[in-house]
Amino acid sequence: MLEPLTQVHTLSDADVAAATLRDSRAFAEVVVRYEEKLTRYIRRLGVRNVEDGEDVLQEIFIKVYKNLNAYDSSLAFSSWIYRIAHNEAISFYRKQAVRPEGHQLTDSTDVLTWLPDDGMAPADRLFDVTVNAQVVQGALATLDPKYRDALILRYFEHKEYDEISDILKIPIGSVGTLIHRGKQQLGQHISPQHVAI
Amino acid sequence: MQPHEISPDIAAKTTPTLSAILARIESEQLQPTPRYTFLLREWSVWGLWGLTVAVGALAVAVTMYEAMSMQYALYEATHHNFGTFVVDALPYVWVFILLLMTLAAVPGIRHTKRGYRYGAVTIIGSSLLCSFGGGAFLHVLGMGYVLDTVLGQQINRYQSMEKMELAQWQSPEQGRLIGMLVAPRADTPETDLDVVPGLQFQDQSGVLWLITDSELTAREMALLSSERRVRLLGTSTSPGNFHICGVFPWMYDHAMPWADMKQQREQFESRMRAHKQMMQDTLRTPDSYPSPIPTNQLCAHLEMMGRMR
Repeated sequence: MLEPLTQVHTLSDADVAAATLRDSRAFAEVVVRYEEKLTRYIRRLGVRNVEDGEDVLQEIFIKVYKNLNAYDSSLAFSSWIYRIAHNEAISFYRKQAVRPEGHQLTDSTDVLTWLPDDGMAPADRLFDVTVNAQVVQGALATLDPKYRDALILRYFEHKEYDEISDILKIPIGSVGTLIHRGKQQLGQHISPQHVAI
Repeated sequence: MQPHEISPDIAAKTTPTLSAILARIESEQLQPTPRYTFLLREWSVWGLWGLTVAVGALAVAVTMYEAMSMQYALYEATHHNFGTFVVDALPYVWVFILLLMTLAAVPGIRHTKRGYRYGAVTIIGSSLLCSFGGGAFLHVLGMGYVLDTVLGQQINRYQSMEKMELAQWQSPEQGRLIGMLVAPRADTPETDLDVVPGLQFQDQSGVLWLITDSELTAREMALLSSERRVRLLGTSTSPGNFHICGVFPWMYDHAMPWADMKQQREQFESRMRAHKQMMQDTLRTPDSYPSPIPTNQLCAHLEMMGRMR
């Protein structure tokens, strides 16, 4: 029995996905829910050109639609759709034969105070202050992509470790390692004079 | 409603991207890929993993069989020490196959739905565990022996345990023979025994030997007369003549239980120690060191006695 489409917005992501398999009209709800989030995400991953971004976004949703039957409901739907978005962004770089040069952080000034002071590493303390967004952006661009991807998901997309594990398809233990090392590298790239305590 | 028609609440949120996506789904008549294609892919990946574990289990079964055969091998008769024997006998191919299969399991598992959650160590560890568990089970069923022997028969270059032992024991110049007593046979009439010139033994190469059994025990005599393939340890006294110092069963005609292998090994050791003791007794009185060596003391002077502990 199909849910009336007017009620689709009350369903969970997983239920919307299931509803789409019964009635493709429900897919519009998936697009509505994730368009903005994924637009921001792929921009942060380096797809800066607006037209390119729209193309990539369209490809992401088409892939999501075609692969709805592959969605494993034991995963968070958002993790699954972010995974597709991540892969599509990577695929975009490959097709363009370019690597991302920078990252859109200006819409995320809140993330400049991302890390709570846990009193652990010097790199952690660096993040507990206001940092010039352009400095962070420049530093982030120099990181190894595997560290950069993990940091973006953790501190810009506010994903939990298990979600990052599902999105990047890596063991959960590796997520912690990537974030820790990424933060250390980032700390090394941000000189103290750029940090206003 | 038309397909892909947008409901009123969603229509209020319509963006150019949403419209473009819905239009594309409609114009290209896109459909979600059927679930069974994903299931098939998932199952095939798990199937490949199962295959790597199964091949790994066979490798373990053969390795266990060969290791056990090595453990109870009569290596003093063929090698200077256990080390040189192990280097010759190690089933390198199977160890390599096991490692290869175990490593191949890593990308396989990683391609399953949740395989990425497991580290390489976990995947390798669990694959090895499954291979060893399955291999031990197959070994108990005798599959290690069967596979090793069949491959040895079918593939020329495959060095099975049987082939290796055959190569090492069919060596008359070094005092080792494999074969069977051909005359007199158990069914030879007593009246014909005088006609038979002596004990005739046909080795693996088809050569007939006249053998002397003056130093054999009753158990060895019985084994020699059993009309089964046996291993002889001794010395060639002249062309076509062989003096026997020990008779041991040929263990590679069937999968032999470890207890039997152990027993054979113990009997071999005990027999060789008895010969060695005789040699030591002889050397204790150098003045009476016999020259030439009497035929009832030939075994005490076999070269391999020096290798017996």
